[in-house]
Amino acid sequence: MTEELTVVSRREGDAVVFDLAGDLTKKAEMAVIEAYQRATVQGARRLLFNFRAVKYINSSGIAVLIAVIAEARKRDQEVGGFGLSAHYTRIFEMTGLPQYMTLYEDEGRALSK
Amino acid sequence: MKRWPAGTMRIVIPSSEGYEKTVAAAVRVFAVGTGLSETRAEDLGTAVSEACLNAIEHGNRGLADAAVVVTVTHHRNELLVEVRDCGRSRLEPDAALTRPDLAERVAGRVPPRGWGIYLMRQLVDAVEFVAAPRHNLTRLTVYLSSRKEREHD
Repeated sequence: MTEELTVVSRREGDAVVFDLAGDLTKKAEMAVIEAYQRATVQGARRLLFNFRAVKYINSSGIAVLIAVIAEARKRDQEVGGFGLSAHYTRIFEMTGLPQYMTLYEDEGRALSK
Repeated sequence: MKRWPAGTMRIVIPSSEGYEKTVAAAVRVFAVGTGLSETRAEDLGTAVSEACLNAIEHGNRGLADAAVVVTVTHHRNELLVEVRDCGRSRLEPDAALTRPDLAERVAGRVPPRGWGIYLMRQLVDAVEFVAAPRHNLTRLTVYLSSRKEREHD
C-alpha cells in the first residue's frame, strides 16, 4: 500500500533541502505544500527536493510538484531536485518537468550551483 | 478445479489508492519472467499503476467496494494488460492524446493534474480504451521485441 510521505526540511545556505521519504502521491500534497510554505516564510530562495528515499511517484505526485513550482515561480524561487532514480528521471523528462526543476546528480552538485 | 489459461494472471483490487502499487509490482515480476527487460518492465508497471488509478478515481469514482480487475496475458511476442472498472463514470481518454501543456500548468492557468493517460502512452507500445455500457477497459500492450525495447538495450 501507499507509504506515507514524510518531509524533513533543512537549511543549506540560501537553499532549503526537502528530504522526502515514502511515496509521492496525492496523499503527500499537504506535507509538501506545508514544507514549501514554511521554507518560503523563512526566506528560502532555492528549494531542493531530495528524492533519494522516494520509491514511488505517480501522476498525482507529479502534479503536487507542479503546484509547488507554480507557487515558487510567483516568488522568483528556484526549484531543483536530486537523488531521482533513472526510471523517474525519464518520467520527469517525458513531462518536461526538468525545464522548471533542474535535476542534479547528487546533493553536492545541487548545492554548489 | 477451475481451469485457467496458461500465461495469464488476474488480480482484483478495491478502489482504494495504494493498491495500484501492488498490482504494478506483480505485473513487473510477471513481465520480467516473460523476457521483458527490467527497464521496460518498470515502464509497464508504472503504466499499469496509472491505468489502475484512472479506474479507481474516475471509472469507479473512488467507491472502495467497486472492483478493479487487472488481467495480464502473455501470448508469443506480446504482453497484454487489461484494466477494467465498474463504469461508474465514463473515461474520456481523447483529451490526453497530446502532451499536457506544462507551461500552462506552472503558470497556474490550468490545474496541475492530467498526466496519467499521457504517461501510459509514452511507456508502452499501445494503449486502447473501450467504453462499454457497464465498464471501462484500458488495454496496454507491450511487444517483447519492440522499437522501445531495442532503444533500452
